[in-house]
Amino acid sequence: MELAKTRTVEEIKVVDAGRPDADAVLVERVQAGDMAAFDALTRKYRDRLFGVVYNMLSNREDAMDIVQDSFIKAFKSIKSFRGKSAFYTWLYRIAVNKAITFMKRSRMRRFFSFENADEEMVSSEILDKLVEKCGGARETLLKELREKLNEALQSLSVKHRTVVVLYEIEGMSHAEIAKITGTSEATVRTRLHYAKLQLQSMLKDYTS
Amino acid sequence: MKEQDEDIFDGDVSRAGGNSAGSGVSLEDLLSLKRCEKPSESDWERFDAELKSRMMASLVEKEPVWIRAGHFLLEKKVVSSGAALAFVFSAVVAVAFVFSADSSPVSGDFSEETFASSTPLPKVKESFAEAKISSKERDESLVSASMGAGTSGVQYVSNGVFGTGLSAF
Repeated sequence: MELAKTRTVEEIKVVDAGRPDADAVLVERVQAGDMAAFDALTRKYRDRLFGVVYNMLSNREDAMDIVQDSFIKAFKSIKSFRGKSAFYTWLYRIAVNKAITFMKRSRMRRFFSFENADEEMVSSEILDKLVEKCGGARETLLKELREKLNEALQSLSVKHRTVVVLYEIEGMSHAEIAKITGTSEATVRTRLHYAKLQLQSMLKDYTS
Repeated sequence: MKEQDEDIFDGDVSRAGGNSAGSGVSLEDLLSLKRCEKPSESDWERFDAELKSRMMASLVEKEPVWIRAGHFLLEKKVVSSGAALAFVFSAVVAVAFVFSADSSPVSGDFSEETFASSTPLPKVKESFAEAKISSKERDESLVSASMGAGTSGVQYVSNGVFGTGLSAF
């Protein structure tokens, strides 16, 4: 019984760490001067923040810099964070705005992707279908596809690329995206629809 | 990633990764491949180290030059611009007074006594000079002349400062 209780408490702790109100507790501690709390927030969100920024820029070094800038800005501005929105919404908004500003300033940046994607994560089912459709070796096809995807995403305008990345790659809802981008849900849906039509056209060789 | 985010994000089953049914590959399937591009552990270690040093640097970054200049002036006990202006005005009045008087060194109540006595006094035209009076009386008459004579007193003072200066040089 005691062991079960301990496990239950641990599970609750694990669940609590992932809950949005856990962020509120950490934010309060950061505002009180607790650097360790900010480290915890950084570790919690750096992966996802990086994913958003990297897929918007298609350049990993730039994405790293921008994510760092975003955390620094969040740290400096955290005293003014009033909790009207969720912390992660506020953080994402900072990162997206920084990425958009960067893209507007440096339109000619080249793609700089990861050499090797985590192949264990790549759905073998999707790859198998692609290999069957397009032929060639898996590695070669994956590399070619990555470049083509980057090219297709970069061909979109900034605002269309942002909604596609946040919705399709990061898995956010229309409501969340609307809060982050400062638009309405209707605008998000419209942009998403248009962006997907564009992407579909560019990637028709790979899709059915 | 979807399992972790269920508590936070609303998921839509038709989005990337959830549409692989059938023999075709959808756009959403292709976009889901982008999720696999992630930094390695060593990349994250480098990220953490750089972030930490950048945050420390941002905490001790230098202020802009104009703010530092303000701090410098305050540190050197030039308390306020008003006090500085008052000092300058007093100095101008004192110099004007000194030039308007006789060549004998000024002594008395002026705090700029040292300044006046160390500066060689050129001879002024008689029309600009007042009658020889004691320092105290001179001080009072100068003030009253300036205050009561309207512009004439002001002109006297300014000519004493600039006109005489020009004739001296």
